[in-house]
Amino acid sequence: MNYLTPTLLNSWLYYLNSEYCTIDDFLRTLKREPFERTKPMQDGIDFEDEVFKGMHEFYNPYIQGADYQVKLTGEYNGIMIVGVADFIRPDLIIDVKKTKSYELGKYFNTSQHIIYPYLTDINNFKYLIRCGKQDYEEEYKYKEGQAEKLIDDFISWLKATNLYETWKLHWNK
Amino acid sequence: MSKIVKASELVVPTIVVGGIYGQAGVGKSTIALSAPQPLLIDTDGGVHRINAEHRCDTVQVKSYQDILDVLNEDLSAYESIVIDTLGEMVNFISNYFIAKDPSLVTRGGTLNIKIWGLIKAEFAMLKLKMKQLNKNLIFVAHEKEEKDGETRVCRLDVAGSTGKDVVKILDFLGYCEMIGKRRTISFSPCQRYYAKNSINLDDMIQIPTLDEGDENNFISEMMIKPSIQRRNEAHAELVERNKLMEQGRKIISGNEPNEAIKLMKDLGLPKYESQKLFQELKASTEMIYNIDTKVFG
Repeated sequence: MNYLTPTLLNSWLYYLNSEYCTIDDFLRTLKREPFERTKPMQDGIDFEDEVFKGMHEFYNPYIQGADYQVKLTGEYNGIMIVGVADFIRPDLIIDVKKTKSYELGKYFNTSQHIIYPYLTDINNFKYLIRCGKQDYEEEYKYKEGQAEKLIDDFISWLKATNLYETWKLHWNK
Repeated sequence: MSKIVKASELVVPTIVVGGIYGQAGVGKSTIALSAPQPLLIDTDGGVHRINAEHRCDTVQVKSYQDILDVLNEDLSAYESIVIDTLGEMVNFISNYFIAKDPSLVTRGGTLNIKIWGLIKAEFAMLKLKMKQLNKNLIFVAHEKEEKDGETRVCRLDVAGSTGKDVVKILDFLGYCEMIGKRRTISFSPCQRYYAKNSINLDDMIQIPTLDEGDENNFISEMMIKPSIQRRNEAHAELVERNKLMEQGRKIISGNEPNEAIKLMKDLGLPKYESQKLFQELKASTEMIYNIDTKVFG
């Protein structure tokens, strides 16, 4: 069965929306080429772990009673969707971010706030963001049909750019 | 007695904290004053631009101290505080610190980086003080247009990080603009602007035109009232989900696993709770679940 993840969708969305991302960057993800974990990536993982341990006060009220690192799976149109949500409460999904620069709306063009609600039926999504010593939040509400549209757009784009077979080859379980 | 309150037992708030920003001249101040029983804290001297019919009691701010003073007055006659604009309020805070310590302005006339830490701390204190008043709180801000790659995006025109910081306490952040000849306020984020909607408002609402004699009650009627109703509905839904989970756990403990699966399906649980219960079921038995046959054996 072919599958996709928010990471793959994010890579595609970043390619579509950023002037700094080339098709080669996206192709590396599409072909699942191995990559070394960069320092910012490791910092992000470490920070998330610190949040889980309750080391950052701002985050504690949000994550109280939440499940941590929740593996989510689902299916749409014969495609398996797989992801890991940072924190889940019965009424809210939380994704923790660490970044060097932040402006409101930075995470609009990412897919977690679309895919995870689809996989859980929990429509409220918050990015909790650490930038320098400041903490911010960005909130999204899932609208019915958003995930299906995103996946359909992605598959159509793969077909239109002759990359559909590449995806099928590399994203198959 | 424990002070911990379960998510499903939390008291549903009946006040809102909101932000309105957007195009100049679209009527942001008039909209803000449509909150119930408002007191206007006019930091940008804009009250004269509001139709006289819709003006309300106003503090014409000359210094940040005016804001601090008014928050210590008896405000029991007001149900809402409107700060118009947030950007000018931050400028007043900035001037307040510069008056205390002129070295916060460099010789070149720019602000010393230290001032942003002071503003942040002061604004945190002010937010707390305003929240403690337990009144509706509406912030108005102008927009500024910035370039983000190829896209032009609209952001709150507030110096430093306060514009981003304030979003944390907002129940809603609405972007006002003219779409054709319609005045609209949107609560759904898009490529062009960020918006926030924690209180289940419609994605976009058309702002009614006020004719002479019309009551200015847009926020009261079109936003606060429905949002309180929808908050109650969301709360009731959460309570229901919790009840269903409890029922599911009883099913797990009282039935053979394959029978439990059937009974759990009938509960009609949302996907996440359903998956969570299934994991609990798997953990409760020594039987192995076969993914292909979908049966415990």
